[in-house]
Amino acid sequence: MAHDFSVPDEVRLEQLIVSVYKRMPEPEFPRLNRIEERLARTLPRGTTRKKVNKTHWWIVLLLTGGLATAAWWVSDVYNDNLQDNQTMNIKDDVLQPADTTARPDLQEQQVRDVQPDASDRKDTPVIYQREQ
Amino acid sequence: MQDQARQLLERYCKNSDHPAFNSFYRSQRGKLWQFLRSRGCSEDTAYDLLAEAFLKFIQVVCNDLRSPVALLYRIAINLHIDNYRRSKSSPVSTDNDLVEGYVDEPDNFTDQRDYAEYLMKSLPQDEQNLLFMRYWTGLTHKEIAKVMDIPESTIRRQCAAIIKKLQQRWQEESHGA
Repeated sequence: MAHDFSVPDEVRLEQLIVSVYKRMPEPEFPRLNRIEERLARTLPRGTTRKKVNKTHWWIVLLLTGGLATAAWWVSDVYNDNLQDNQTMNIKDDVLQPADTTARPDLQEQQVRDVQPDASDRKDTPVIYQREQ
Repeated sequence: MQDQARQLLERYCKNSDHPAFNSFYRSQRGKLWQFLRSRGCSEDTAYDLLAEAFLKFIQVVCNDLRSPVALLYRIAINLHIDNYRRSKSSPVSTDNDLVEGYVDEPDNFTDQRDYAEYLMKSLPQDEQNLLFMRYWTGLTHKEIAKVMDIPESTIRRQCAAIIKKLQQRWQEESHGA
């Protein structure tokens, strides 16, 4: 298609392109407004579909649960060990001889325990007696 | 303009601000309708596709607010292609088939703008889309790249190539050439 127009430079050509678009037919606004009303009815549904990413909260919940379980388990084991140690101490105390030097009444008791009195001996059946 | 569109949609998505979405709709509806018309849609089809594009847009826009206008145009293009395929028994292979016989060839041109329009309409559909989005919608190269699903550098190169191509054709068809 022949013409007599001089070749435009880049800037001029871009201006011409924009002017071509400005000449394009405009839409009918009543029809566009009807579409807007239709969209307005669907908007609330659109916003309720908004996704909230809760993954990190689940991770926090799992970690907290894990830590709580671990803490409970550790405290349980510690208590068991503590009770075992206390039992051992009690046994050790029993096995150790009592210090009777400070208390004379305990010394007498100890002597009585070692030498049973005559009444005890009388009640005891004599199975074997060594000849004197 | 794109930043303003993004801000409006951020308000809509975060605060359920419906008037903000309506403002976005009003800022885009005219150009999107013209875009669909420039792709060869009839007036009624352009209105139908416009409504459908916004309906789909509402459903997905809050997932990614980086380039909402690019997303809207991508949806509109896809809907237009789907619509064309539904209306024809055989599927289309490229967008260029959508505007067969769309170019008018007048006997003479009264001014430069008429001739520029004639040259623009003779371009393939993809290149017409590119010009529309770049010079009329005001999308950046990056945003057009998202719409067309092409690397940004390619879009940049194609834009420059289209301008050169128009100048070359202008030169070739000039009487003084």
